[in-house]
Amino acid sequence: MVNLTTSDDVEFKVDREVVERSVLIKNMLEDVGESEQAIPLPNVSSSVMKKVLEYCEHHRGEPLPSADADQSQDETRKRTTDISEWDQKFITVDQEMLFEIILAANYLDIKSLLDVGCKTVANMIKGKTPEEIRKLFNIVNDFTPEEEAQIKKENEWAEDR
Amino acid sequence: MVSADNLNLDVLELIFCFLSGNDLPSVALVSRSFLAGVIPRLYDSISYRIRQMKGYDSEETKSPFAVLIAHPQLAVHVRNIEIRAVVTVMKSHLNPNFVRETRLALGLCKNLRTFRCTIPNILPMILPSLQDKERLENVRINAHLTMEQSKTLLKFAGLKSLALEFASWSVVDLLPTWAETVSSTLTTLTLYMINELHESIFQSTMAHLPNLIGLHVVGCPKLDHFVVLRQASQTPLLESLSLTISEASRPLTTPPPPLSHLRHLAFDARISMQPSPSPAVLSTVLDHLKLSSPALHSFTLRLPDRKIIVGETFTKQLTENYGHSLRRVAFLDCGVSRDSIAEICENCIHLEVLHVAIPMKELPPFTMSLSLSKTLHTIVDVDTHVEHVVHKALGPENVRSMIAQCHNLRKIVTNHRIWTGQPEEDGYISVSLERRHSQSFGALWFLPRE
Amino acid sequence: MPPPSADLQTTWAFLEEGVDHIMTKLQTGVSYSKYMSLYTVAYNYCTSSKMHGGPPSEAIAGANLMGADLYNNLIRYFVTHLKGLRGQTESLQDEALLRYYAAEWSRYTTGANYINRLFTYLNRHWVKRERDEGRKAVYPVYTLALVQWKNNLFIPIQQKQTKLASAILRLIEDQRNGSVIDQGLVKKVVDSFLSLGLDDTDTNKACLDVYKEHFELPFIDTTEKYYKQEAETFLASHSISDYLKKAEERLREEEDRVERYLNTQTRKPLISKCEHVLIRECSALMWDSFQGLLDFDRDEDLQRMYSLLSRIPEGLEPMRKKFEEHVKKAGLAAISKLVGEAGSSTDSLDPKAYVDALLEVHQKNSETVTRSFRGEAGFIASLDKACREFVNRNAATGQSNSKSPELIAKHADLLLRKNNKLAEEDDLEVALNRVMILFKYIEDKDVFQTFYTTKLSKRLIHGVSASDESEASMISKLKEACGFEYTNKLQRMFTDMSLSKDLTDSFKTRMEQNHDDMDISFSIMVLGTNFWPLNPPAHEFMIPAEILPTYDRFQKYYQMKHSGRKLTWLWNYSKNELRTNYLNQKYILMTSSFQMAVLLLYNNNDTLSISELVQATSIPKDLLSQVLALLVKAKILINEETDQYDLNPNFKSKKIRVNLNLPIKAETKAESTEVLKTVDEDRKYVIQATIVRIMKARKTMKNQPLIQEVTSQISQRFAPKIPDIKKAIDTLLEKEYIERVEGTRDTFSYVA
Repeated sequence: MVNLTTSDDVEFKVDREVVERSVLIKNMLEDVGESEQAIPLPNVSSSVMKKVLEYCEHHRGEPLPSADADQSQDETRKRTTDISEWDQKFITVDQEMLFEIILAANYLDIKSLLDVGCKTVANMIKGKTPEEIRKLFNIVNDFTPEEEAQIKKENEWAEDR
Repeated sequence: MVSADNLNLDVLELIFCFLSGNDLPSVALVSRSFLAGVIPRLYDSISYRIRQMKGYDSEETKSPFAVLIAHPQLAVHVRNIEIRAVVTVMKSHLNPNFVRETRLALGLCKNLRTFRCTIPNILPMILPSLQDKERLENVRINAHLTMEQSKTLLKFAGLKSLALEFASWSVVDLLPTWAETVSSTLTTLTLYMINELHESIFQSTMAHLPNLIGLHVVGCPKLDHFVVLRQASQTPLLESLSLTISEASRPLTTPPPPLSHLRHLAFDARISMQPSPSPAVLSTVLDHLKLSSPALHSFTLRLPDRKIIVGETFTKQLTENYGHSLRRVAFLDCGVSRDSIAEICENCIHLEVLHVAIPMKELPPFTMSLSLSKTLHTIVDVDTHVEHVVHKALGPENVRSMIAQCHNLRKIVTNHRIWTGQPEEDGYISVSLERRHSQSFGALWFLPRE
Repeated sequence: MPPPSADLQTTWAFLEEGVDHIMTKLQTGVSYSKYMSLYTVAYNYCTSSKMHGGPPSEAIAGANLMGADLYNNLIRYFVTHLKGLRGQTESLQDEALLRYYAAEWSRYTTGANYINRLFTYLNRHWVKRERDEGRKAVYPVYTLALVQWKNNLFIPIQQKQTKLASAILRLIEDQRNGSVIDQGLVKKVVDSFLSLGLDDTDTNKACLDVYKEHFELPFIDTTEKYYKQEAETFLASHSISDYLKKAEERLREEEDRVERYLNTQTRKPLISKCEHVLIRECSALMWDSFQGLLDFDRDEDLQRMYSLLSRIPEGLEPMRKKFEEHVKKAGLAAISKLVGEAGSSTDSLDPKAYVDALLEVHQKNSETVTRSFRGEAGFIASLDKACREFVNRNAATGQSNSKSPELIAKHADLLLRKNNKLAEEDDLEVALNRVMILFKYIEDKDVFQTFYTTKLSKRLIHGVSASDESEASMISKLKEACGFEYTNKLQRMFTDMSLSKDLTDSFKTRMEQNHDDMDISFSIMVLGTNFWPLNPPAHEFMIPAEILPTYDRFQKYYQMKHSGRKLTWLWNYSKNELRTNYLNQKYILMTSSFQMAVLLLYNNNDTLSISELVQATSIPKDLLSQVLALLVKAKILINEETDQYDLNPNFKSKKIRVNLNLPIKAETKAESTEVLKTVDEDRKYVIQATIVRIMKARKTMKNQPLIQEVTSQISQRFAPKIPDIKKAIDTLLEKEYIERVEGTRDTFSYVA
């Protein structure tokens, strides 16, 4: 068992196999060795950690991506935005939690969870106009009308139709 | 509070990696941070087609090359460039401004990995900009070049894949030398419609390329299946092979090439004869290849005229030899009888994708034949129906009934339309339609698709 | 721990302290919280790349990921750190330098591995982006640490008279000179050279360039110098056989060295250099000493020389040539000695002695090939070539090609006879196998065949063969060596023998049923004319009245069984047993049929003149007088007056069975020439048949290629002479089997 302490000082006791979905923690345990000390995770709150551990628990034992996954593997990964059923349900959370999970996965180095989060955001964006996207994420348009016109003109070539 | 707007750039970039097409320019217009995050993905690939030409003359639109010149720092992101259309003046002359932009922009893209140019007349002018691209790996060009121009090609030294179309004599003449410089890296070679290429040059080219895993020689009149099969004996790692089969060729007396790794096979049959039930020469070639017992995953056949029917003996031979391994079968420009389709659906036990002309008039019996397959997932209509004036298009009811009858069928692709269907729990089949160009390979129909 | 919003200075100050702790005091340990805080601070800094405000041109420039500053600070840290280490090395030399270097290397690389993981996020994003965009001089942190080591420590030390490499090379030299060295230390340092190699396009790929340049090249160079020197001094004071041992040992040592502490890729250049210096450069000397080693049977030295020279290309060829010459000389000498002992006449040469002498030479050298040359195919070929030479042409054969096959066939005959001196059947089998060894080398196998056939027929009709099994065994050996055709006749002879036995039995049974006057016991051999090398008597023979009824009955019986077959009676080969009634003591006289015919006349006469005998028997006078001479010599007849022969009434003999059937001199003399005549006839036929066969297949052929083809097809059986082939061609032209193609001088075509 490994002890984890989140930013809000909540302790988690987790199986080593589960927590090693995080390459960060896996590497550290390898380097420093196992001990009774709690591992502080200053960038993750307990509510997010709970979600992340739920994911890790469900996917325990699956092979980790190799440290230097080659380019072609990366390319095929990009093409598909399919998400498995369990992951789909798991990631059905409010926007803030979604982004928190993405950041936590990025920080803890859990590649598959990071992908699920990013695919979900990408799927939300698909087929929307710029204005719809802004509305979706509550983003303020920080371009001037001239800037907007220029960007539009310069990127028009990338449009399909 | 975390929000989409203040995510750090690395993560934004990761998200935008999963987007493509129109979504990318849309994202660019959202905000400064989104713009910054989408740039690497947006500029990764540039494809210049007829659509991109519109409004060029009136300066309503800018070519991507002009944008690159305006913002040279974007050029590091560009990995793939495809030129399938050029701006012309008076219909036949190249627009000099366009040519200049393209040439300069190409020069900036130092990380270019893939370059395709199927337009012959612009290539000589932009070719010099392609020198010293250390990362250039994949090249497909319409290579109608003079002797002087051809020499530039020798500077493409680290190629992994090379496709030459309509190459001139001077390019052909250079092939063996070029092959020698790329012999350690090149794994796929495609030669398409090259009149001047004859066996001795082909042979000395192949001598440098024992590690090829893909070889496609199609429409080169002096290289028929006899020649290609003989040279293929030097490339035992071959996984995909395309060749033109002509009847006039010599009988296959050479020992069959040792191609036990072969997975993809495409026949381009140039058979100048009356419609025949079973082109014997096709059977002979199939038999010849069988001797190295490859486990074929895909097989593509193209006949010169759709009035010619693929014989049932041939389809039977195909399923007998490869029924246990075939996953994708394609019949282009030819008729296929219902019995043949039934034969393939029943006996190719792993069949996933079938490319065939969908007979609109005989849809129910056609569907019956398809239903013999437990694994068939996608059907692609290869008949573009241009000749049929009155053409009844596939409707949602047709799609629903086809998917209901065929156990595993989920996707039907016709020209511009992609139908997908999903049986719900209550047995109802929900159907969705996406209007999109199906992935196109241009003239190179024989290349393996995954 | 600084907050996520901390500036670079605060951030780096915190990180540098941690990095330095890991690089210099790792043994004191790192806590989880230390590790996590370092990772987190680096992560926070890298993810602080956000786009707020600023003109879109800045955005469109593609956002700058954060990381460059951390990366540059890391470089600065490594450079300073390594400068300190370099200072320490200034005063160190040789082993002390290596020890310091190896210890620092392992400390440094362990630390760098930690740092690399702490800066994972930098590697994953900023470094990856930089490399993707083509900046090859940006490396993942661990590789960066190695690059800095190389540039700030390794290269500066090496620049001082290649201090590091020289120290290793000196240690290796000490080891070659017999000292014990710390191999683990050498391995550590050499491994560091390997790690420092860097493939610019793929940092994960191994690259040997540093190892090759800084170690392998100078190492191979010193190795060459070392062994060149050693070989020279060693040979000046030691024998070649000592040198062979030394070289073998040295090569083994160098293989070991690669195994213990070098990269396996060094094996090839190192070993080939050693082979060049230790073997190639001394090969002439080895070849020169080879004959001496052979002469004195120095098996171990030969073995060693073989295995050394087999390592270099073309090293064995001169040995093989010398060996061939050696074997040939030994064979020729053995036969010359034998002929010298036997006196001038080679006719009286004992076949066994001849065969034994040949075999002894073969066996001795064959053992040498197996033992010392590992049965290597090239040496076997040399042995075979030499044996073929001396088996066919030696002091005993002179100019004759048939002498050797004849002697060997005779020897085989003696072995297969009833009264050979070999006690056991196994011994006989061994002896026959030895005959086959020589048989393999005989060029004119057809001559052997003819002699063998003649001898076999004698053994069979005289019933003196040792055993049917041994005969069959020998025939199957010949068949294995030369094929079915070669032994076809021999096998047919055996068939005839067993058929004859049955025939005799059935004839006897039949006669017992029909007649009661069978006081003559009769047995017959009916032999196929084509398979037996036997000729009927060239003269008339009056069948004695006493045996005429039996003769007639058998003729009739045989005609009845096989109508149409013609029996030719070979009186000259048949034999008889007569019982005497005219003496007090009964004797059994064993005679030839001619002797029998003569003696039966004395049933009614006591004295007869030669002309009376000629008239009564129809045997020509000169042959008859030889027949009589034997009877006179045995004292059955007395020849007191010229041409007058009387029965000796006082004949006495110590044995009851008296053998009178001794060979007549003229017969034995004639045999050899007879055989050779048969061989010549056969050859003519074989050559013609071969030509016809070839021409039938080829339709047209030029003279020269035709002769070559014929020679190659026939050489299995004998070496055809070119004039014989030409003669055969002429004969076939005459018989119109082939014809000259019109308008050519030397092209023939087949006439269908």
